[in-house]
Amino acid sequence: MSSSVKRVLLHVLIPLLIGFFIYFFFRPDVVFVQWFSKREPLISLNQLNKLQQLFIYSGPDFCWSYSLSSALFVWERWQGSRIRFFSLIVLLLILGSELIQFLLASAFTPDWMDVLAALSAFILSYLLIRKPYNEK
Amino acid sequence: MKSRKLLFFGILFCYAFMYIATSKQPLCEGDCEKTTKIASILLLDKKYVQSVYRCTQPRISDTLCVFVKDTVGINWNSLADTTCLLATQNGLLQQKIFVLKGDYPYDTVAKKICP
Repeated sequence: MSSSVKRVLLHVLIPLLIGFFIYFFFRPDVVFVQWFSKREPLISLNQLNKLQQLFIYSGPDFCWSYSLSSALFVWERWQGSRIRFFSLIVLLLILGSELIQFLLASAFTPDWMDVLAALSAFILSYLLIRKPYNEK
Repeated sequence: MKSRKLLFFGILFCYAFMYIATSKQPLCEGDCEKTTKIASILLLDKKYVQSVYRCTQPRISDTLCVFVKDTVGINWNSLADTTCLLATQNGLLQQKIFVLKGDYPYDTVAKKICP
């Protein structure tokens, strides 16, 4: 398996799958789960401790942001040349997607922990994918 | 070069789609829940009923429209009465019921103001 395929699998697809499973089993009130089946969460979120709730609520945002940052950084590598301010553009995209939820509160679940999760995801993706490329 | 740009926008499109797909399903409660219940009973019970919904803006109003297929031999006033009864049973009082037949422009075949 080539390193690019491994990178896509590990940093793009697996985080997406994890986020998908969290939604599917623990937060089925979202649109795409309702398309498949009108199901109830496996467990009531009130039964969970703070750390578990953080995983259920902010985990999908972390996974989506990590996957998107990674996909864009992998794309940048693939297209061959470094793009000026590309990391900044990705960061703005990630933060913008979280912050806009505060304006669309009826359709999303805006939370500052999600913003923090998205920011951490971006930083991790930057350190693992973009920074090594910068240093080459 | 073109395929690279295309892939970039493809990635953004896919993630935008997932972003929207993980928004909350709007809750159907209150007036929406009651009208949906009335609609499901009528749709199940009467084959000539096509749809039932609030047909004025705003969506929450006192007007309920029952859209029906052009069918002969049906007493439309009786259908309006049944709808009234269901509305009252579900806590929707003083509703204006319109029974509308066929395609647009609809033919109003019965109307009733419920108690």
